[in-house]
Parts: sequence; C-alpha cells; structure tokens
Amino acid sequence: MKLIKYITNFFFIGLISLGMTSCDDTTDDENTEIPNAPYVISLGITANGTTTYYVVSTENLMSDKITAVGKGIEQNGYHDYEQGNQTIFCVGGLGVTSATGIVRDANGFLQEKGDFVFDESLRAFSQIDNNTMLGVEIPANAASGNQITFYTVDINTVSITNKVRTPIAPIATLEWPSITGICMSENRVYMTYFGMNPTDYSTKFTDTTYVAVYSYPEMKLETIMKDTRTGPAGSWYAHNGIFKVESGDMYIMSNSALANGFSQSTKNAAFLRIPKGQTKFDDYFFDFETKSGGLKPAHIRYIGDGLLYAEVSTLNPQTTADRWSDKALKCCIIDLNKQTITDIEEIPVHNGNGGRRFNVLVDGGYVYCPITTAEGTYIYRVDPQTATGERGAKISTTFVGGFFKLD
Amino acid sequence: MNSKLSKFYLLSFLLLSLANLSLHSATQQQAKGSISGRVIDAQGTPVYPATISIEGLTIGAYTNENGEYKLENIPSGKQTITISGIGVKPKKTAITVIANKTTEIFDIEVDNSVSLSEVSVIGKSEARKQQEQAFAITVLDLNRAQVISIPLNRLLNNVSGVRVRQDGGVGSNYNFSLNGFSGNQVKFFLDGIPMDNFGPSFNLNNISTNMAERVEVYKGVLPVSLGADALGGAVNIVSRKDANYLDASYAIGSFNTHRAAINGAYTDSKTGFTVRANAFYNYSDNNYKVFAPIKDLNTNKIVDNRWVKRFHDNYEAGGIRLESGITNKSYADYLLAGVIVSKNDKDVQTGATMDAVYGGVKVKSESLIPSIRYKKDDLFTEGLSASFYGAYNSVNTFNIDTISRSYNWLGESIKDSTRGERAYTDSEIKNREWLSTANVSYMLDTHQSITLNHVFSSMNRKIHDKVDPENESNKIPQKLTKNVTGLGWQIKYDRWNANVFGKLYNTNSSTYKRLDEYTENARLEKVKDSKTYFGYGAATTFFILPKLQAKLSYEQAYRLPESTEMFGDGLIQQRNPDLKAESSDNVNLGIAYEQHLNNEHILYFETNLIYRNTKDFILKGVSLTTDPTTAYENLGKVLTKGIEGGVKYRWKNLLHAGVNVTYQSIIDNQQFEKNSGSLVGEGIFEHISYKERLPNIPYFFANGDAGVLFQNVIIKNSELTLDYLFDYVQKYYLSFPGLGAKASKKVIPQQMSHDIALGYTLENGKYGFVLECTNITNEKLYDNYRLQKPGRAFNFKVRYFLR
Repeated sequence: MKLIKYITNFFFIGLISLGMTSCDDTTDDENTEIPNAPYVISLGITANGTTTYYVVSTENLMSDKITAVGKGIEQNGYHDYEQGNQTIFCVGGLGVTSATGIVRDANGFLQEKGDFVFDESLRAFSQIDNNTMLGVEIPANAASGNQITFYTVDINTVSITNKVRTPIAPIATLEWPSITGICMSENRVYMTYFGMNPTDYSTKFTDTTYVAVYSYPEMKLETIMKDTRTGPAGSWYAHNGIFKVESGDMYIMSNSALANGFSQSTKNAAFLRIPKGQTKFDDYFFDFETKSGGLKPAHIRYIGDGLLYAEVSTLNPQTTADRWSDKALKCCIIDLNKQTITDIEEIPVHNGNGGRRFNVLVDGGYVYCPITTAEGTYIYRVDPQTATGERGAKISTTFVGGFFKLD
Repeated sequence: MNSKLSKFYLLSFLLLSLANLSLHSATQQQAKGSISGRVIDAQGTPVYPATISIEGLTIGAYTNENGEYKLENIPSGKQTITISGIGVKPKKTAITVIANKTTEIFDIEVDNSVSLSEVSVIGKSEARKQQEQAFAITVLDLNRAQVISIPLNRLLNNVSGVRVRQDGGVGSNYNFSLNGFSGNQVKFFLDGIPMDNFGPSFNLNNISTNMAERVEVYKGVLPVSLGADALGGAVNIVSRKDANYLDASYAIGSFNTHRAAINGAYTDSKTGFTVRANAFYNYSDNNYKVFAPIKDLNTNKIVDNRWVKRFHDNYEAGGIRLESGITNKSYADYLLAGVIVSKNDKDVQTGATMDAVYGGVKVKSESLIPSIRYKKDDLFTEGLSASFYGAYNSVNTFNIDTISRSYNWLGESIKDSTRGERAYTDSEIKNREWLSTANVSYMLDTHQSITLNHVFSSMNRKIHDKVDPENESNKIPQKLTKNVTGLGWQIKYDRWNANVFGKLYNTNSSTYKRLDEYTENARLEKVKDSKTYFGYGAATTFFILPKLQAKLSYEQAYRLPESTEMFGDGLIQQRNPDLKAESSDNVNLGIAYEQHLNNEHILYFETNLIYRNTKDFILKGVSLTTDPTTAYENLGKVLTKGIEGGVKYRWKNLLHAGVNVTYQSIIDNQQFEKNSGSLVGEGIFEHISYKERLPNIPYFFANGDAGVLFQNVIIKNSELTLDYLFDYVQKYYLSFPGLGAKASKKVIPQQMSHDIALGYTLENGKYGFVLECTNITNEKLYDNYRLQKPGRAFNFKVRYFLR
C-alpha cells in the first residue's frame, strides 16, 4: 500500500508542479536591455534551417557574453542591415522585401520605426548624403523585367521618397548584371557590377572592370566606365565593389574569386581608383594578387588614412571545388597608399559568411570584427596601425547580421 | 538482404513452425459440443463479469449481466471449467460435454466476498477491456457521443495529451499531436488498416462520428498487430459491428457548410453475404471572418489590420466506400472486396502563413482504391488467426496556380507581371501505391500468444506539368518502398499482462536532388537510398488493486519519412529528399484508477509520464519568405518530458464531466551543429537554441467536457442531452521562446474556446437532432503559424438510424 501511496503522491505533485512551471514561462517584462548602450548588433540565429534575427545593444565589446536571451528585437526572414545616421535600416533580403528602421527611443531603448516595402529584393542600399539612403533593385533575369529601380529613402522619416526606373539594357549588353556596390560623388552615383548568367551562374566576362555612372537625382545613365587592368569590381551580393575615402576619391576592388561565386578568373585581383567626381580611372593600380603572392581579398572595409581592413582568402590557387565556399579566410590590414598587406596574426583563419555584408565596426581608431570558429563567435579588436588583434566578448549567435554604433 | 534482416526472418519462421508443431499434436479431429449456464455468488446474485474457460484449451467467454455464459466448440468428453474474474476467487468445476448438444450446467456459485462490493457489478465494455491492455491506451466510447455532430478529429481533442491542430475550416489540413509527437509520428487506422491507404478524401475530417463505434488512442508503444512505424502513438477507429443497419445524417451549418453521410451494412445470416457502404458529401464556403493584414496592392505596404471574410476557400468533397463479400464461413470470418472512389476540390486561400493571400490557387484530387480484406480466427487449428489487407491506391492530385494577379485580404487584385500567384503550375501528380498488411497470431496456451505482422507499401510518383512540360525534375519518377516486420510475444494473466516485441524497418527511396546549385554544373541527379533499422520494446500493465492499474512501456522506435514529406505536395509543402528516419527512446509510465460509489458514481483518474529522447526529430518548419512554405526537416536532438492527466466523473448515465491537462517540455537538445554545403559558410557551429523549448508547438493545454442527459422528455423513449466542451491552450511563441525581447516576438496568444451542443433523440435513437454552437465567445483562435480558425459557428444535424 505504501507503494501505491508513493506513486499517487508522485503523480499529484507532478501535476501541481507542472501548473506552476507553466506560469513561470509567461512572465513578459523581463527585458534586460541597458538603456543607451552604444553598440548595436544583429544576431542571426539559425536552427532547423530557419534564421531569426535579434537586434541587441551592448555597452561592452571586449568582455562578457553578448546574447539574445530575453532581449533584442526579433525579426523573421532573411535580413540585411545598413546604418544611416542614427537609424539602422533592416531590409529583408533574399525574397523578403519589407524594411523598417531601428532607432533609440526617448528612454534609450531600441525600437522599430517606420515600415515600407520595396517591390523586389534590393541589390544595394547605402547612405549617399546626410538625409538619404539609395537603394537599387534589379530583376533576377530578363523574364522578370527590364528596368533597374532606384529608391531614395529619407533617413529621418524612414520612408521611400522617390522611385526612378531606368532601362537595364545599356549595362546588360554582354550578360545579366549583378550589382556589387554603389557610391555617390559630386551628384553622380557610381555603381559597380559584374555579369553573371542568371540560369547557369557562369561568369564569362571577367577581364574588364565596369562602373555605371548615373546622374543624381535623375538617375540617367551618363557613362559606363571600363578598364582592363583587372577584372569586374566586387563579388556576388557582397557589397564589396566600390568605396569612398576621405578625399572623395573612390576605389574599386576586383577579386574574380571562385570562392565568392565566380566561375572563372582571368585577371589578377587588384584595386583601381576613380578621382572624386570623375568618370575615368586614374593610373593608380594596386596588383593585390602579385603583392600578396597569389591571394584574393574577399571582404573589405575602409578604416581611414588609406587603410583597409580585409578578409583575404588563403586558398592558393582557388579551384572550382572552392566555388561559393568563402572559406579559409585570414584577416589583414591593407595600406592602399603604400600598397602593403599585413596579416593580423592573432585572428585565426576562419570561414566567411558567404554573400552577405561584411559586418565590422570601425570605432575610436579600432576595427571590431566578429569571427566565427568551432569555438563560437568572438569579437576581435584590431589596431590598424600595428595590425594586431585582441579577442573580446563572445557572441551567442550563428552569425552576425549587422554591427553598428549609435550615439 | 543483409544478415540482420535474414536472421530476423529465420527467427520468426522458427517460432511459427514451432507453434505449428505443438499445435498438431494437441488437436485431433474430435466431435464437439457446447455448454451454457450461470455464475452466481453466495447471495444468488449473478456475477458479472466473470471469465469462464476450459482448462488446457483456448476457449473462454465472459458472463453477461445475468451471470449467464455460453461456450461453443468444446471437444466432447470430460472437461474442467475455470471461473475467474476481478475480485472472484477462482473456482474449478468438472463437466461433461456431449457432442453436438448444448449441455446446461447448474449454477456455479463463486466466492466474491474478497472484493470490494462494487466490483462485481461493474461490467466492462469493450472500451474498458481495451484500456486494460498493456499499451497506454485511451478509449473514446462513441456509443454515447454518436448523435453529436462534432467531427471525429475535434472529438479527439478531448483525450488527454491529444491536440488536433487545424489550418482553418472544413477540409483544411489537420495535424494531430499526441504527447509531444505530431504529424506523421502519430498514425491513424480504421479497423486496424492505416488510413493513409484511403486516399486524401477519406480522412478524419470526413469520417462521420456515426460510423465509428469507438476510437482507441494508443500513447507510446503500439501493438505489433497495428504494425506501423508511428513513434508517438496511434489512433485506431473501430467501425460499427452491427450486422444490419442504416445510418443517415445531414448537417447544415455556418459558412454554408453542408455535410451528408450515409452508412449502412447488410448481412444475410444464412449465406453470410454482406454489403457495407459509406458515402459522404461535404461542402463549405469556409468564408469565416479573419483578422488579417490588408496590403495596398499598389505600394505593397500593409495599411491596416481588419476583420475580413475569407474569399477563396471553398471545399467540396465526396466519396463512397463499398465493401462486399462473405462473413462467418468456415474458411473466413470475413472475406471482403472493396473499393473507394472519392474526389475533392479545394481552394487555397493562404500560404503557410496568412501573409500570403491567394485568389486562384486550387487543389483537386481523385482517388480510386480497390482493396481486399480477409480474416480468420482459428484457421486450420484453434488459436491460429490470420488476417490480410491489400490495396492499390491510385490517387491523382491536381495543383493549379496559373493566374497572373496578386490578391490582398479584401479580395482585391491587380495584374501581375509574373504568371502564377506563387509558382506557375498546372500539374497533375500521379501517385500509385501498393499496400498490404498481413498479420498472423497464435495462442500458445491460455496465457501466451505470439504475433507476426508485416506491412508493405510501395509508392510511385509521376508528375506532369501542363504549363511546364519540359521540366526536368518532373521527368524523374520518384519511388518510396517501405517494409515493416514485427514479431511480438504476449502474456496475459488476470492481474498483469506484458508483451515484448521487435520490429524491423526497411526503406528504399528513389528520388532526385539538385547538385552544385548556383554553378554552371548545376544539375538534377537521381539518388537512391536504402536503410534498415531494428527497433524493439516491451510493455506491461499491472493491477495494483482491482481498480488501480499501472502501465509501463519502453520502445526504441523508428519513424520512417512519408512520401509526401520527402516529395512534397507540389504546392505549399516543399520536398526534402534528404529527410532521415527519426529514432527515439521512449518511456511511458501511466496510472489509472477507477472508483465507484453506490453503483451510481464513477470517478476515473488517469495520468501518464512521458520521456522521449529523439534523434533526427522530424519537424514541420515554416520558411518566412514572400510566399511562405512548409517543409519537413530533421532537427538533431530533441528531449521530450511530459505529464498529462485526466479526471472523469459520471453519475449513472445522466451526468458526466471530465478534464484533461497536458504539459510537455519539448527541448532542443542539440549543442553543436555541422553546417555544410551551405551558401553561408561551413564548419561546426554552436547551436544557439540548445536547451530552448521548440517553437510553434503548444506545450500546455487542457480541455474538458460536461453533459447532462434527460430521459423520456415529453415523449417516451426519447433523450435530451446538453453537452459542453472547452478547450484551452497556453500561449506559445513562433520562435524559440527564450530569445529576444518578449514584446517583439510573434506569439499565438492564450486561447480559450467553448462549444455547446443540444441533442434530442426519439424512439431510442432512431431519430436524432443536434443543435450545436462552436466557439460561443467568438474568440480569435489560431493554429500552425497563426493561421486563424473560425469564430462562432452554428450547426444543425439530423440523423436517422435504423437497426
């Protein structure tokens, strides 16, 4: 009889305790966000093939653990993030076309603001002046349309202010264009692209750099700049084709890297320069591949003073087996003026995020970059002057979708 | 054939032949006779139920309410009968059986003073007997519920641990979860035949409650005779056995819903000729109101959230299931040939979530399923039973998505440059499937028996798309063949019974995969796969007290992927050719107690503890893109711990009430993940959702029912019933609950719904009327990624039942 009593008690206690545990789950107001924490990181967490993003803020990048446990704005579907002044734009990429802004509210907490929709998914989205973001949309192939759409988005109101369409045809004479970056200089929009067959994804035209130059705000095609010293600028969806430096000059980076989606490479990876507002390259030529002993840069971020922070592929040479792999990357500081490449020894060789934005933060003379290895994702603080890195906070995430600082 | 497989077959063969041998020596051709009599106690009160059996033979029977019994086919000569039962002191009596005659035996007096006084008067319905098996089983006795117009799938919600999840209104997809298992982890059977065999029209939605006598819900381990690879349990619907009856019903309800059903059976007792038929027709506009986001079609912007009527959700289905053959012959208990002809026609209103609205997408299907079914107890020799079921399913499904428009929830549309609302298609999917189930069991003696079961299915799929006839992937036929063999041994005594079993699973698939995607080498390649698994388990049950029963079961089980899970539905559910079998260790511990007071009040209490450690958990995921789709994926490791309990009370036949509560902790138990062949890098990654509760699965829910019955209201032989049902689901998140600020998370809010039904029957159930109101409070009810279900609805049903 004792046994029976024990068993029945066991079940009753079980039933009661389950009622209690279920109550625990429902406490809603456990927000652990610290107001006015300056750094904003979007954690992309993938489980069961689905990625969910959590935009969290943190005060500290060098110690503790950054997690989305009980905090962060949840966003579903694939997202790309881009900062415009004090607003972080969250744009649904790869099939999702809605966009929203994340700003700080009066109490210093992150909040979503505005809500707008692009027709299709954006291929480029960058701040072009103090009030404006410029977005570029291009159909996936000729069957789905023949116009490029340029959107201007007001940073303050987080809404689309203008939409201009222009034919694709002039830039699609050889092959369907894939856009790799946009830059604004002296009322001109410079757009880098390369040709990729939308059916078999082959890249047959890799011996010329192309930059389409549009007048702003009319978005009339003025000219197509061409150069044959290196291949096409940028790589698939990586936003790495073109960047602007302090002087207003622009640089293009060409890698034709198989690991970043090219089917062939016919020219050395290199940097070229477009002087401020001009529609011609000058004679600057940085043959990266020769100077690095045969390597190709994958992802780049301009720091200042002619220095670039870059992830460079250690695959030498890259073969068709490496196609799309974006793997075995080392971190380097590239000096555009001296044309030197210095490895950051403290950062382990790691795999990249593939076709995504290069999510690093330049702040206070340092570069902060999240690096994912089998140990997890850690932030490294890089001193570009000495090309040294130091491991900081751990981020509990599958990958980092965006990395920003708000004032 | 691999060695594991052959050993298993050899073992089963040996066991069977052994059984045959012992049997031949024991039985000689002999004249037979019958006996009849009565069992009483010291006061002369009939003892019911008591078991009467012939010693050394497998002949036995229960006494009826008057204590009477009859035993047939007893070898003539001197025999010993044993009387036993719950609370009855076993007694043996010697008798003489005369050939070809029924011998009247004097009343046998037994001593039942050892038992509680109420024990002797409680009869066991077939339902109760099933409950006492070693398996964790809950039986829904429909003899009471029959007149209620509630479809079976909703009635099942009232079983503890069970949740039926539905996408929407009549004809919408439903998904059944049982103790943390869902979808195809739980299998449905009709009279022991897997319901997948009946084609897409004949499913739980369409099976009228009238047709079923009872529903057996197995939680955890399944009897070998069901022979399926369901991990989480099974639902077996047992159809009415009445030899001759006609049952016709018609129901009309909100949203222009009509349901008509005719079930009938005719058996000629002389010739054994029988005809059974079920026919149904269902129609609904399903134009119930939903609270939906309204998109401005010119700007694509969500401008408002509003209550709107669903505008493209008509559902029409009809079918007939006909069976004819002979019953009660010396060579067959039944031998029936049957055919199912059915058709359905369904508009598709939304994608996997309500963010995608469609106005022209349709799904149709046509099924033609001939079948044959045979059963014989005591085949060749006593105690040997054999049964067989075979069918050929020919099901054609048509997916139509051809219009070039986009719709919003107001039903407005604009011309779209792309053809098709989600993916341009006008395709016909031809599924052809051979199915068979064979079962042989042999009773070794009065206590022991062995069962050998084999289930075979082989499905072939061909697709032709009228608007894309050159589609390479449609030119590759896909095939999935499965074999599941089970061998079990059962032992049964009055106070306890147990069984041990082994199951051998084999699956062969042939399909295609896309390789080297996003390169010029991108191609379709035919892939073949073959897998064999061996599972085993045991179950036991024990009566601690005559009314207190404990059950314990363990199984190392496999759940094989279904063809639709691997190959998709060609529309919203995506294919996953890499889907693996799910394997798990399952432990189930249950306790049930029944208390009777003054022979009038019955209190029944049941609780179960569940522990499941699963690998490659098959989960239906939702991809959140512009056109949301679903797909089945393997989730590395999942740990499920659950508890469920129920209390039922009944006063005479006049009042009943019950509550069931279920809590399940279904936790992602995968710590690291290997990512390969992905466009976002590869390598080993931390699995961030480790130890998080799985999203989009209800984890705490309860339901209850209460009802009263009044007899002879106004007219003699009439019954008036009033039934109330409630359903509660704790809120749950659509993403991992521990991550992100709660305020920003998508949630399915706490839901509480109430249904009420008023029924009236005349002439002992010959005529029945039910007026029912579901979701009285017009609560917003959701399921499956916030798909909204109907609000308040009314339904009126008329039934005619002739026996």
